[in-house]
Amino acid sequence: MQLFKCTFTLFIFLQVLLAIAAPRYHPEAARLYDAGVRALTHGEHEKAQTALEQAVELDGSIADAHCILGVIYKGAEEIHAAAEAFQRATIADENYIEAYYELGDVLLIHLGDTVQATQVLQKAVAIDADHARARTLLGIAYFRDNLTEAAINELQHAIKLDPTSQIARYTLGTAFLQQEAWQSAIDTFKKLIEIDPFHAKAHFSLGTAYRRIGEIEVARKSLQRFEVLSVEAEQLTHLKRFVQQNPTNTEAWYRLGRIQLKRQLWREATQSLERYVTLAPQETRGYEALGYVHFQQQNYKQATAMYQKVIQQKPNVATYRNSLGGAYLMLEQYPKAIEQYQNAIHLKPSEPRFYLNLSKAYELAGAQAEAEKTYKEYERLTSKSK
Amino acid sequence: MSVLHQSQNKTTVRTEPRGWPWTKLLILFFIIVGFLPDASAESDLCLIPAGTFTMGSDDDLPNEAPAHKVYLDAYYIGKTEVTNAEYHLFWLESGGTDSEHTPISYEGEFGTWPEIAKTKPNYPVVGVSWDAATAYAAWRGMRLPTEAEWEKAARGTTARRWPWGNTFTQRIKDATLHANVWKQSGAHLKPVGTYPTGVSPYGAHDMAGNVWEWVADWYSENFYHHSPGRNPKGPTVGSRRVVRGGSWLNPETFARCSTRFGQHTAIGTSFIGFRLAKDATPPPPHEN
Repeated sequence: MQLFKCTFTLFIFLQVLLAIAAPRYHPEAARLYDAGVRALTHGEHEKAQTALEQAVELDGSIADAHCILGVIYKGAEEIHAAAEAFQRATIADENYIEAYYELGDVLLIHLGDTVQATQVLQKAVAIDADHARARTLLGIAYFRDNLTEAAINELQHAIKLDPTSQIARYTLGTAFLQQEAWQSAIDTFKKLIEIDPFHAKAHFSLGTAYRRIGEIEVARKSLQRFEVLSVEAEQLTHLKRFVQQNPTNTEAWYRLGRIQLKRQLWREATQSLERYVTLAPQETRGYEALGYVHFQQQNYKQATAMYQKVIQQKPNVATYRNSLGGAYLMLEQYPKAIEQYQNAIHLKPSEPRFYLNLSKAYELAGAQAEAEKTYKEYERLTSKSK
Repeated sequence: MSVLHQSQNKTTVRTEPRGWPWTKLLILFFIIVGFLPDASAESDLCLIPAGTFTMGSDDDLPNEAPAHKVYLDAYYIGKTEVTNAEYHLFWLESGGTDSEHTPISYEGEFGTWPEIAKTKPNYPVVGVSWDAATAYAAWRGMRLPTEAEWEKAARGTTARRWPWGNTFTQRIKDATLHANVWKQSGAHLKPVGTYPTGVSPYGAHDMAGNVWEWVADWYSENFYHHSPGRNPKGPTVGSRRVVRGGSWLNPETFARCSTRFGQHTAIGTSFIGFRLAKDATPPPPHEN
């Protein structure tokens, strides 16, 4: 009997040892997972989906494969499939915070299931108290459930972890509004507008809060700003759709590019305006706007090229010369910058800022006397204009 | 993994047969020593002196912000990524084909394990999970670098975007000069140290491209907003570990020194490897 017990114990021990020592995943599943991730890296979503689906069919324990599949399904708006995939990821790895977060997001934002979402997000936060996005989402869930105090706590915590989170600040401000904590709401919306000056809803809510404390003039300004931004946002949405349907409409591309430029969406503005100048190479305004966008992105070489094109077509506009001078200055090509500023002054001698720029260019080029002389001219013109 | 060292030493002692001629014993000794990993081989490591550097970036992806100053004690970091040949020794000792640390076998250019260790010994080992990388490091008497250690070793104290400088002027007639990153014509793994002009300020190779590298820290996208200023070791919990440096699979922007990404720890891929690190213990005080 004793011998049997010993043999049995040894057998169990060996089984456990073998289970630990064996490679963790089905080899073919691991290869398919790898192929899926690689395909996804290069935007081949269908290929990635097929490979990952095969991987989880062979080996359901690859948590990351489930989670990535969930993200793919979510992107394709297959929300129920996404929820299932995220759930499987949490089963395969019960500490997979990102999978809990994604599941919570799908349940709350896409399926509107506040109760289940709250449970899942509470689990995520229990595993990682510093997960800012999970705390934000949990705050939103509480807020939707009218648990305003809990929502405020959660959202304040989330903002501490990630001070740049706009959604956390916006929901927090809205929760303060609900509590009639007007000053807290004002502070929160002002901070949000500092982060994103184009946040239309924040301007509206700020206006509402000011109105409630009797600051009517400030409220009016905020609400006006909201109206302007809302109209702009509508135009932006409309134009984006319009250029997709009418890709050769030059005017639409230009208007889209201008709004994107105004909103400092540099990358999008570059794309729209590049499209415009390709379709309308004879139009100066496209190169001018594109030059400005490149300059703002510190792509000074490209900015120079754009301003040169503008000047080729309109050599007698002083502001274009000034802009080209600015791009040369940033490229540290001082003689060229000086030449352009001089041209600008020649074309419009009454403009003080051209003198200021020229004096700066002289100074950087080491021509101190010229710099001082030009600066005096700048001072003379500005005092005259006062 | 010192357990493995100990068990190996014990095995050596136990299997020492009595009455063997001394010459045979000596040969056996040299064979064993020759194959033992040399944890003190500091010529394979770069010394990173103690001091402060700028970690992160304000101009790139949100998870790299804010750029902040970090102080690190002195440490060593691997000059190159761990190779197939180096990992093969560990794999043999940890059970060979039965080892839980067996790299994933891929088809095509990545080859199958363990054959690839013989056909491409100087290529970085891939298909290893974070756990396997950590186990290997411990076996070598070292560890994985922390995220901060990795970044300082890559960019130095002048906040370089890439290990060699701030511009990725790497393509001349389609030839890659500094780093192995994705090209539309198709990219492949390369032997470690293939790009000497891409070396970091401290002499570490391939810190941009070739393979992403596991580091010790858990990944948190907002960690920099509240990370400590001295010797940060990352969040205390997580479900993904940080990988750094970009790979043959990614464009150059992913190979920046401050780019960070979280990867699930339990499974390896064909584009993630690792390098080693260890503390630089200060020299003993001079004896009079």
